Amino acid sequence: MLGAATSPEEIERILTSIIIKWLGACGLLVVVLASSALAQTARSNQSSEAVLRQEVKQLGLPGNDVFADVRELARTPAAAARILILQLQVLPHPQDTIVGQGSPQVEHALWSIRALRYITGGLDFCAPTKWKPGRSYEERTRHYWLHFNSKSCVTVFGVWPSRDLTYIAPVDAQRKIIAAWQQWYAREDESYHYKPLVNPESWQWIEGVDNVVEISRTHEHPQTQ
Amino acid sequence: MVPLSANETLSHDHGSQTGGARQHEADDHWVTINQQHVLIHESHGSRRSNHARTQQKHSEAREHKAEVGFGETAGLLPEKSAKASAKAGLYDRRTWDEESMRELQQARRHIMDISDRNHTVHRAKPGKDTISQSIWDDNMQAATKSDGSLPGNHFFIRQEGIGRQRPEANKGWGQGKPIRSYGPFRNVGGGDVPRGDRTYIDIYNH
Repeated sequence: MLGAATSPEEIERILTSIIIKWLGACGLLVVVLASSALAQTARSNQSSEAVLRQEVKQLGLPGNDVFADVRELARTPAAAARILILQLQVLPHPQDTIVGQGSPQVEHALWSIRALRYITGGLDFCAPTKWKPGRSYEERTRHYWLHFNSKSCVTVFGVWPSRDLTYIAPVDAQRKIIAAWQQWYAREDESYHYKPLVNPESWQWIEGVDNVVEISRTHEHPQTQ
Repeated sequence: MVPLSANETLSHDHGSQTGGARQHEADDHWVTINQQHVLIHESHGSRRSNHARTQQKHSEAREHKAEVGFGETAGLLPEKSAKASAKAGLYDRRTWDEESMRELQQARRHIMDISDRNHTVHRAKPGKDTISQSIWDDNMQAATKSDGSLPGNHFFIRQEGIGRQRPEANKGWGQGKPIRSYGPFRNVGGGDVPRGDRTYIDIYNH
């Protein structure tokens, strides 16, 4: 390739040219590999997001191991909390007492709140309501369980364990509690110190929580910290 | 009043001091702190008020327990005794089976004991009517014996063969065998547990 008559300057020029081409090729290779890795990560994120969405969608539905599902969600608590909160919805017909297991829609809603309680380490909200109970035994019992944590506000639902009865909060309170979860997530986002409950007793998340955050009548932001 | 440090010792000697000649009023008493004797004077009034306060606290604690028994079991009655007439009134105590009544009282005490650990229980106070008051008295009696020593963390009330016999699996408890069952009793309350003569109270650890 190099003749005997080639000068040192010529050799240097040729070598420089080869090195530049080689470096260019390496650079191109790095760019291609990095792009591929990024695309892979994005695909993986999309896929785990899709899996998470599916897990949340299935939560509490018949045939699923709901306890295993909640524990799984607690492995990625911030992402799970975001998706759980996004799909919270007001339950219609709250005056109907649920005996044992409710409809799939009701069970899904109840388990979404329970999952949030679990993965946040026992956080929950209660809100004031305009509902006034009637004098019937049923109404007074519903009032008792919805106000179990506080005289001034109701939780989304209350459970009478020894009868396996569940009482749902009036619609106005449900709306405020859903809004409180949304505001909480918007404020806390990823910065919240998620500490899922460890081997909790049923009264710490399935039936209720030890302490609820009260939403004031003026819709002020609930303070959780 | 001087607080005692951790390594100080204190002993009480009401009304007299060992080897001492002085007689004290009934309300005075000596305490020994680090081998030095100190006379504590306590008036009759303050001791009486302390006693009253302690009594008051005990009474409140008993009522707090009784509210659990009343709220959870007010609709339950013991079985009718074999000798009772078919026309006997539900609340005629003379017609209640003694053994069944003892068992119901024990079940109430057990529920009250569980409420020391698991606070998710229904509390209620009686109305002014005679029947409510008499059932309240039963619960106050059961509350006297409740000291939290009976085992279990949950209980479930059911009518044998009718309706729910245990909580749903997704409630996280009550799926195994109960550690104790009380009954049968008569459920005359209806509503949350079906009415009938075969009502049981099941106790669960988990």
